[in-house]
Formats: sequence, C-alpha cells, structure tokens
Amino acid sequence: MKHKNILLFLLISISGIRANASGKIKVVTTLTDLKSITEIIGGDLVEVSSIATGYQNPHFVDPKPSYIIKLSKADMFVTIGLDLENGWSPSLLNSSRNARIQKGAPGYVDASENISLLQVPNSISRQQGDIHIFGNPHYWLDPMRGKLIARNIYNGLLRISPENKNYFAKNLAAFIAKIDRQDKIWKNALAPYDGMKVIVYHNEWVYFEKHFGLKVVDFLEPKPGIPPTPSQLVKVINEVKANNIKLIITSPYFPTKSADVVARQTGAKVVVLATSVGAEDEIKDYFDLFDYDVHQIVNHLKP
Amino acid sequence: MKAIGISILIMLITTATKTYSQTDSFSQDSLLQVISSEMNEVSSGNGAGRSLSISNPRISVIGDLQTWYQPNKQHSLGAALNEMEFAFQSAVDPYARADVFFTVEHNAETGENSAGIEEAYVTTLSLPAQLQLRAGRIKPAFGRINTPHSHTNHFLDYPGSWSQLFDQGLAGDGFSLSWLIPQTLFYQELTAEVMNGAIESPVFSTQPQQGLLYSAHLKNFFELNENMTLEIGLSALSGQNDSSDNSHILGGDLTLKWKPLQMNTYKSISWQSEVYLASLGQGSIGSAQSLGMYSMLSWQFAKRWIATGRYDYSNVIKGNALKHPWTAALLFGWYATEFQKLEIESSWNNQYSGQNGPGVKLRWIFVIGSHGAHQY
Repeated sequence: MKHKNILLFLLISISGIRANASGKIKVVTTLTDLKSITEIIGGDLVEVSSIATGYQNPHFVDPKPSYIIKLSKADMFVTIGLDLENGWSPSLLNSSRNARIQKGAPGYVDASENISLLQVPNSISRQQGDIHIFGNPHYWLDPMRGKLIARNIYNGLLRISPENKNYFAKNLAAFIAKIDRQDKIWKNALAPYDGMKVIVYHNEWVYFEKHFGLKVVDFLEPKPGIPPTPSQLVKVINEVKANNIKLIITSPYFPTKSADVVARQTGAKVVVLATSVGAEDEIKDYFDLFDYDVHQIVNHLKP
Repeated sequence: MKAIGISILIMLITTATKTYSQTDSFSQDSLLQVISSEMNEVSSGNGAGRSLSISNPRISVIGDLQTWYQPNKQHSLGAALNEMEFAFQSAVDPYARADVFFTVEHNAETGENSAGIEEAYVTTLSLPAQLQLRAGRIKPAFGRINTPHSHTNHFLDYPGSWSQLFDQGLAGDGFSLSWLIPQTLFYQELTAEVMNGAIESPVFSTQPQQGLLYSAHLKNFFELNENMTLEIGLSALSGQNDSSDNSHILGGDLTLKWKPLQMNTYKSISWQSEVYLASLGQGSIGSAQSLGMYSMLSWQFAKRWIATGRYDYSNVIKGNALKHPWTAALLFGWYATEFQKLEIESSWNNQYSGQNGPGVKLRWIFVIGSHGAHQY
C-alpha cells in the first residue's frame, strides 16, 4: 500500500497535473499594491499572493527559495517592472519552472506598460547612484497611474480567463470610479498645502509629489541608494531653514536617525509614510494607502 | 618587512576610505540639478526602446584585487589582480536562458595568469513536472559554497576542509537536472548531475576517458518565520580519481539565517556549517578516509558592515600519519554599495601545506555592468 502511494505521488508529479482545488486563477505579484489591485479587479475569481510585504524596501527583497513554490503554481505574475525588482524577481522567475509566467507569456503582466514615467535619464552612470534606466519606478504612488496599473492587470486577467471579461470589466470600472471619487477627497485634504516644500529620504515620492502638489527640495540620501552622510545632512538642514520646510518624509524601511537629526536642528517634523499596502495594519488595500498617507501629512502639519 | 606590509595595507585602506568620503562633495551640486532637469515627464510606453538588453546579453565585469601579508610564506608580501570575471547572461528564446562566465585567474604559486571558462550553461525554462535541465560547464550543487562565485563569499580563502577536496570549487562539463518536489510545506529541490570528469580537482580525475562524475543534492528550505530561515542540505559525489580508483564524498550543510524583512539591508545574522566525509580509493593500497568541517558566523551590524568568523577542521591521512589541520579566520567586509566591497581577512592556518601560520589579506571587489541576484 505504501509503495502504491509513493508511486501515485510520483506519477502525479511527473505528469505535471496541478491540483487547483479552488478553481481560482492563481496570481503572484511582486508588491502588495499589485496584489490589492489584482484582488479588486479579479474579485472572487482570483487567489493572489505577494512576494514582498508592505513594509520592506522593494529594491532589496531577498529571493528566498520558498517564494519559488508559489511562482511554480501561478497562472499569472504581476511586476512593477522598470528594473525595480531586478535584483530579485528575475532569479525567482528563472527558477520557477513555470512557462506560463515567463516574460512574453500570457501570464506575465508588466504593470508599467503604457504608463508615462518621470525622471527618465538621457544618459546613465552609477556615479549618480541607483538611477533607473527606464525612469523612476515608484509610479504606483500616484492614484491616477494606479488606474493604468489596474487596466494592465485587467488585460492580463483577460488573457488568462477571457470568458470572465464582463466580470473583470465591471470591477475595473468600479475601481476607476472609486479612485476618482477618493482622489477628490485626498486632494481636498491636501489643498491647503499645495506647493509645500518637503525633504524626503529616498527619491521614491516623485509621482506622489507631482500628483498631490508637494515640492521635494532635497533628499537625505546624497545620491539614490547611498546612506545619508553628515555633510548631506548639513546641506539639508540649511535648506530646511532657508525654505522654512515643515516636513521630512521617510519610509518604513529606513532608519529615522538621520531624519531625527535634521528635525532636532530645524524644528521640522518627521513623518513615516507608507509606500505600499500593508505597511501598517490599517492599510488593507490600495485606497487605504492614500488615505493613510494623506492623513499622516495633514496630522503632522496641524498646529 | 612586516612594517612595510602593514604600511601598504593601511595605505590601501586609507586611500579607499578617502575615495568614499568624496561622495559627499559630488552630491552638493549635482543631484538637484539632475533631478530637476529630469523631472519633466516622458512618455516612454513600456520603455522597450531604452532597454540595452533586448538584443544584447546582460554583460558584467567583476574585478577581484588582493594584497596579502603572510610572514611564514616565501612570497610573504604581495598583491595581485586575483581574478577578473566576465559574465554574459540572457534569455535564448522563450524556452531557455544562457549564462556564460569567463575568468582570468592569477595563480599565487606560479605568478601566472590563466584564462578559462568558469561556467557556461543553458537552462530550460519550460520543462513539465517542475523539472529544470541545465547543460554545459556547470558547478555541481554540492553543499553551499560550490555554486556561488568566489567574489560573493564572506571569506577570501576557502575553508581548508573544502579546498583539500575541491580546491577553489568543482566544475565539469555535463548535465544537471533539478526537480522542485511538489509539496507545499517547505521548499524541497532534488538535483542530479552527471559530468565528463572534473575540470580541476585534487580528488577526481580530470581526464574525460577516466569515466563520469556523478553528483546529487537535496535542498530543504524552511521559513521558520518571516525573519528566520533554515536550510538543510545533503550532497553526494562519486567518480574516478587519478589512481584509477573511485572517490566518494558525502556532505551535509546547515544554514540558519536571521534577516528582518523590514530592515533587511541593515542587519542580519547567518550561521552556516558543512561537514564532508570522503573516501578516496588508492588502488591496491586501499582507501584514505577523511572527515572535514567548517562553521561560519556572519553578522551584519550596519548597512555597510559585515563581520565573519570561521573555523574549519579536517581529519586526514598524510603518508602514514593522521593529521588534524585547522584554520581560524576573522573577516570584516565594508560594502560601499551592492557593486563594491572591501574585505580584510586575518587567519591562522595550521598544518596546511605551504600556508602554516598567520596571514592577512585584503580584497577589493568591484562590479560594473549588469549583475543579477545571488542565491539566498
């Protein structure tokens, strides 16, 4: 009996039969923001997991072999693209042994497709730090571009499951409508601070800044990816004083030590904004992400 | 002579440190200008036109410069361009990718440089049943330190227990078939390899006509929680040696890592240990048995700093006597970025041929071009 079970196990494995008891489309995303949007567009028809959590640096996710298990069974893979995940997702995809989600396959979704990009360099050198050749990849922090991400995911789901086009289309329309409704609320909340100058830790807020009318004056990092140095902090302190800057924005995966130094010297406030869904327990989906960040900014600027 | 050696090491470190302190001054006027000038929105579609990798493979060059002071060696003080690696990596088509690594290596004993293919293989992307086939010049998946290239190691010299069996690593021309075992409790991968002998090896024949070299590895990877992982591996190698007899080696490896997700670029601890049991046939004389092990603890205590302590021990027969060689090493690594690091290693070797006594080595690794992730 024992030998029969082992034989059956081997036969199932070698024949490549995939057990999908739920009957749902299995989707793996690189970031939680993509997971959230996929869940909204795919609704009950998808089962989504994210490789990165919402509170880790998306540039530096460790490619743990355990992620390969999920990728090996996935029907669809969604990536931010633009080399954001270049240090970890290609090696995981190569090891996944899953032809359905390789680049160019129907299950591969590059969420950046047809999205207009900022800070696209004319030339590139690592002397500039971690500059991305395609442009700044943190585009999901603009809710308008979030609508385009949703459309790209919708297109991916259509390729996998065209029979459910109406269902996905209805969810996409609802998502876009809700983004437009919420965006008015978010913009109204930040309207009193239009054009406000801020300091940020890393160059990842350009899309958020442009959409919500902030003005990034400088970064705590002297160059993208290079940790803050004393002379850079002196430079920033002078800029904060000269421009009467009230806010220093940092992210959950950076230490606040440098920002605190500047704050102590200038009286500016440090706010840790969420860069992804799940950065805090209360940020359950893509809408919560902007709710949280907008409220954090407003609360920190209250007299 | 000792004073001169130490002076050179200090000079190199000081020069390197000065170089990095200049990072600040570069930033004063350039960053804002760059960001401002590039703030204008550019609609680039999916950026396909900008990709350098569409028609060309991803190319990288990795340099490994070393200087050393080993007072008990004949060539006690020296410096060398230890290795240059040239990597070309790309998808071949929707079904396979290819990775080619050329190296130019410096031989510390002879002072000569030699060029060669370190690895060159094609890997399938779409075999059924969670199989993956690799063919070409490969490094068999034996233990934890054979497959990574030397510039990624948290040590400069390989453990003595390893190098007496594999020198700088085992490679051969052949095939590797790996199977992702279909269970969801933990990651489990079984790899089987067959090679046409070894390229260079102290214990296996390098002559293809001497027969095939077989290798197997079972990798078990557990996520204990989101910050801690455990990997346990079992390995086996078997093939002919230059005594027209067989060598058999069994290996076990264990790696425990703590790396907090949220601050994974700032702190981590890794404990890695391996044990090797070798039986080296010697024809009519019989066979020589040896037991070797190493244990290594790495502590990343700041974003740019890693300290590593390592001890290795072997139990080998040399002539008619049983020897117990060992090495203890302490290394500090400073990472400027993910593309450049400086490491200084102080070690004490006991009874390894030509390497007895203390030694200090400094290594400077740099990477230009595209270079992907390394194994976790």
